[in-house]
Order: sequence, then C-alpha cells, then structure tokens
Amino acid sequence: MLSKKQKLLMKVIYSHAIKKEGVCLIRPIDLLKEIPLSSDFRRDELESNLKALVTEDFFEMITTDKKGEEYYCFTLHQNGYAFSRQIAAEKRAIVFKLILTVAGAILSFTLVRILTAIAG
Amino acid sequence: MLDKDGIALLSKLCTMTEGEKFSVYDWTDVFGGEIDEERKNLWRTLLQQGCVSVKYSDDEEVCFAVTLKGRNINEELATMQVVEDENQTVVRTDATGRPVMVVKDETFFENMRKKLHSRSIGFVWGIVGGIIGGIVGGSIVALIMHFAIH
Repeated sequence: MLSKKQKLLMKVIYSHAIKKEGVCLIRPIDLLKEIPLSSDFRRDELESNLKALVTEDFFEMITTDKKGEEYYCFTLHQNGYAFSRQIAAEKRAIVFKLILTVAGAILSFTLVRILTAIAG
Repeated sequence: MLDKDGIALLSKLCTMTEGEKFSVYDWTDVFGGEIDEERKNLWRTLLQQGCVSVKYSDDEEVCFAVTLKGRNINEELATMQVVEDENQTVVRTDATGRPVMVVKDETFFENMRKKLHSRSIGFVWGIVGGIIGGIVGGSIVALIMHFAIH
C-alpha cells in the first residue's frame, strides 16, 4: 500500500511517463514543483520515497546528469502502468463506502421513524 | 561493421560518458550539429551493434550510455588511424603508433580493374606455362622415341 506522499510522487511520474511510452526524464526540482505544496513534501524525502517505489517495482529509476545537473530517468514497469487503475479502484472503493454509509444512515433513520411511529 | 564515421562517433561518445553510466545530452552536442537522416542512421547502427544503450530520447535530448561492448570495440579500434588523403587511406598502427598495415579505401571500379588485371596475369602465365610444359614434354617424348628407335 502506497503512502500519501508516494501516491503524489507516483502521480507526477506516471503523468509524465505515460506521454512518452512509459519513459520520462525529469529533474528532481521539477518533480518537487509538481507536488502540491499542501502535502508538505520535503526535498530530503524525495530519494527515500522514490527508492520505496522502485522496491515496489513501479518503475526503474536511473540517476543521471546533463551538464552537471541531476536528472532522473524513469521507466514504468507493470505496477507503474497499473497505477491509474489502482487509483481508480481506490476511488471506487471510497465511493462505495460512502454510499454504504449514507444508505446505512438513511436506513437507520427510516427504522427509527418507523419504530417511533409504532411506539407513538 | 562500423564505418569511418561510426568509429569516430563511437570514440566521441566514449569520451563524453564514463563507464556504463547514463548521461543526458542534446542531440546537437552528440553530433556537433543538427541531426539529419545520415546521422540518424549512424546512431541506429551503433544501437543495432549494441555499442550504445538508450534509456530515453526525444527530439531534443537523449539519455544514453556506451556499453561494455562499445568500449571494447572503441579500444580495439583505438589503434586504427584514419588518414584523410586523396586515396582515403586507412592505416592500422600498433600500440606504439607504428603503421603495420595499409588498407586502401578503393572504389568498386578500382577493385574490379585490379581483379581483372590479376586474373589476366594468371591467364597469360597459364598459357605460357602450358606452352613451355608442352615444349619440354614434347621434347622429352621425341628424345625418348628417337633413342628407342635408333
């Protein structure tokens, strides 16, 4: 299960890589720029989160450089390609839970009303 | 097999990168100018030969590394010196830089002329050898018959 920060990171990498046949070249600074400020993602957390995603086999990562400037080269793996499906499935699960909760609440309310009517 | 331009490009790529580490360069830096069809083919040849490994490329930049095979080929060819003259002579030198073999980059017609020339020499010498052989053989037979009869 990915953490919130890993998901944000993965979203950025996926959106870049999917446009270029599963491969993308991006500077660490650009990667951080695209992560919402509200997530409180620090520069020193980047490396560890990327390594965690590599371990989970979401992508292959190569640290490279262009004229002395650091770049990351990502190549999506099977889990990486499935990331959007995973997010969609999680969204569906949340929506389902939400519907279930609302339905439960309505049912409870109705039940209470019925019982009140019978008792009263 | 790499041609003269392929060897030159491989040598340049080896100096641009370290070991098998991937580096990012603009295409213009790789080729020293705008990329055209000829240069694209040169790059494809290096890829097909397994001399270069590419992780990422777009219209502007490329992330590549020279493979171990590519470096070995480059080292092997390091002793090959290409001398630009009117004959486009390729000189292979030993480790000390002493020329050990000269290979001329000849045109098709020049090669054909040489082949025909060597074949015609062989043909003439074949006839001459046949005639001399015939004369010597005939003389020996004539002498034997002469002494056998008398």
